[in-house]
Amino acid sequence: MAEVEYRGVSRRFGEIQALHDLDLLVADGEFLILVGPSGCGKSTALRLLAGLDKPTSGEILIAGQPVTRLGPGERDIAMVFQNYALYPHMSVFANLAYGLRQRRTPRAEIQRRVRETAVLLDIDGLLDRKPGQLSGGQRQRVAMGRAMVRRPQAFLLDEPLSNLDAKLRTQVRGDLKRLHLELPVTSIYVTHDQVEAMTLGDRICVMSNGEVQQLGTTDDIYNRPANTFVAGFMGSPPMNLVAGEVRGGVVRVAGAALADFSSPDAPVTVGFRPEDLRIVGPLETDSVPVRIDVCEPLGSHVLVHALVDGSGAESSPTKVIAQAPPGTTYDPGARVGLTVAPGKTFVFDAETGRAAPPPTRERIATA
Amino acid sequence: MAGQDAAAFPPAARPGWVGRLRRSESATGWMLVSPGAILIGIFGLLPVLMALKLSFQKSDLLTPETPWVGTRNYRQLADDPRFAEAIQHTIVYTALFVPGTMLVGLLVAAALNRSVRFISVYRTAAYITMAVSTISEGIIFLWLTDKDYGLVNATLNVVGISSQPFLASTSQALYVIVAMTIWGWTGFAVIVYLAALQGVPVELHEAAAIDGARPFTRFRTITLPLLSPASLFLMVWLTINALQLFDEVYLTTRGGPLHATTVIVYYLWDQAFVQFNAGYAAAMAYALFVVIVIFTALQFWLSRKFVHYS
Ligand SMILES: Nc1ncnc2c1ncn2[C@@H]1O[C@H](COP(=O)(O)OP(=O)(O)O)[C@@H](O)[C@H]1O
Ligand SMILES: [Mg+2]
Repeated sequence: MAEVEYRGVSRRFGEIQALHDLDLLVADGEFLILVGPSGCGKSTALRLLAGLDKPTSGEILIAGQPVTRLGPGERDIAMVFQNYALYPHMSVFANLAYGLRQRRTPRAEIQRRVRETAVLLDIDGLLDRKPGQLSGGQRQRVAMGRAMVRRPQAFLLDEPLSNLDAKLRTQVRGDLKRLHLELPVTSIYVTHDQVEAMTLGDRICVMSNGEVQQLGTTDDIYNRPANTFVAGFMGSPPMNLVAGEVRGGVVRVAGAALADFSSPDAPVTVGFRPEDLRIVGPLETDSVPVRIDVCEPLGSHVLVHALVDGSGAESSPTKVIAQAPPGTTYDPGARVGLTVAPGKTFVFDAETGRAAPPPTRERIATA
Repeated sequence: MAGQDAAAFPPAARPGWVGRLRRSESATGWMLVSPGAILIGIFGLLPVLMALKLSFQKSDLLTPETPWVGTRNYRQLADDPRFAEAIQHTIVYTALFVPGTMLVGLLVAAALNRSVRFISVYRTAAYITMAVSTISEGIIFLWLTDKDYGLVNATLNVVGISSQPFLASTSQALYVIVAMTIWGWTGFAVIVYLAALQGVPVELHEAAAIDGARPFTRFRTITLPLLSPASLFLMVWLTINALQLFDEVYLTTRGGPLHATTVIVYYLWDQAFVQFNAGYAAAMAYALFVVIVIFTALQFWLSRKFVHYS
């Protein structure tokens, strides 16, 4: 186990800047999530750490030692691939033992460690099978086992659950969390699924276009998104983002005053989460007037899709989603209002997308 | 699907076998393959059966009398020292040619299985030996190994080795033919191995590298086992071809010098069309056929231990 550090790491592929000046310190034993849309450079970051690729510039350290010039076999890390990359011609036992054999581990020790790991992952009944004879979930566990059996300095996991069906994914997600608690090895977990990111990580690093957008705890990311990208990416469904303005110390969307906000008058992007919205009558004061688009009943709640009427100048109306109690129905086209729970309005710079200081604090300050 | 459709829309009822034939897919299939099948029957199967009959007869291919001799031709094979010699040459040739071609093909394919500039030029260069006709191949090697003007001897002379007789030597001729046929078949082996190599997922190499395996270990423990179906195919294919070696011998040494390169099929040809012992030659052909079948079966049986199918 060891801490892992990226120092100003960049990687270009010709014209494409896959990773831009990444600075990241993963603490010893931490479970860090790298999350972002497809193509944002997550795998590139992981492959650079594994030694499967070399950075264009910057330095990578494992346990304080620079490893940028070392090959993948000399870094003492383990990686779980998206498609598992199990050796198809070897038994499960041989798959697990392969890394130990390369490191000249004594035969008895290999036997012991493979069995121990297999028991931990509940694959001890499968040791004689070939990967082709396993189910998706079993293969996933064998891939985990192959990484764990070597007791590496760090685990790198590149979308390890994306080939499983939804039900299995939820279950394995729980298993992963439990495993990490039992065996706290420094882990970097790549995913494009923000639900996975929220449920698994100690800390989350949100990436876009090869750059870190925000690094923080689940709570930070959810309740204090650093910019519109993070706000619009995390949460399911993510935060609604609509054009608004600050005028006279008040945040307004389509005329409705949502919160006090002491800053100079300016156009802003206003954010509010679906679960912080309440649907009210169309004429209620300080409610955002919207037209119902469609209602999506999900059992525990209903997602109401609606369109904010533009101030007239805007061409296309902005879509918003509100979470409503079960049984809620509206006819498409019906006019209603939306109110935001107190302290749950987010304000972002209209140009840069960066978050303005948290509204709650502002309100206390001005109160 | 088809069954359901057929049930939903039964074709206009026609009684008896005509209706059944019209509806059956296999009848259509046979109709489509019949031009090829008939030609193969006439020019392939028929001679095979006629040769079988011939192997129990005495025939000089000229006189119409072809008396039955029972198994005499086969019994004669066992006592023919020149046939024994031909078998020995064939075994030596096959034992060198098959592994040699596979090894050279594998090394060249591995070298070509990467993305560097002009890779398609190199790949084409490797395949090109396949496009060279056997006649040109024979002539090229006659030139290359010529005692007085050959490039090989010229090169040997430069490094201080005296000229070698090569194809004119009883001790060297067979090995020159081995080298020549390996050269001629390398392109084929390269294509087969290159295609198989491209089917080996890159992630397996990456996983093995992370597991600490060095490049050669990765090649031995990951690549080679995953190439095993291709290796089996090449082994069987090249062995069948090696046991039937003829063209190259005919073009370069005519079985000489002093029978040194007389392999089974060359001896067979010599018996049939030079000595006019066609019945004897036919018996030889059938003996060879049995050997090839046994060899192939043996290779498939052995392959259960080393071939991995994904
Ligand atoms: N070997 C490569 N050659 C060229 N471009 C690459 C290569 N690997 C990744 N890229 C590019 O770098 C960017 C980031 O890729 P990647 O790290 O795989 O994204 P992610 O894993 O977040 O989906 C993408 O635009 C991708 O096309
Ligand atoms: Mg990826």
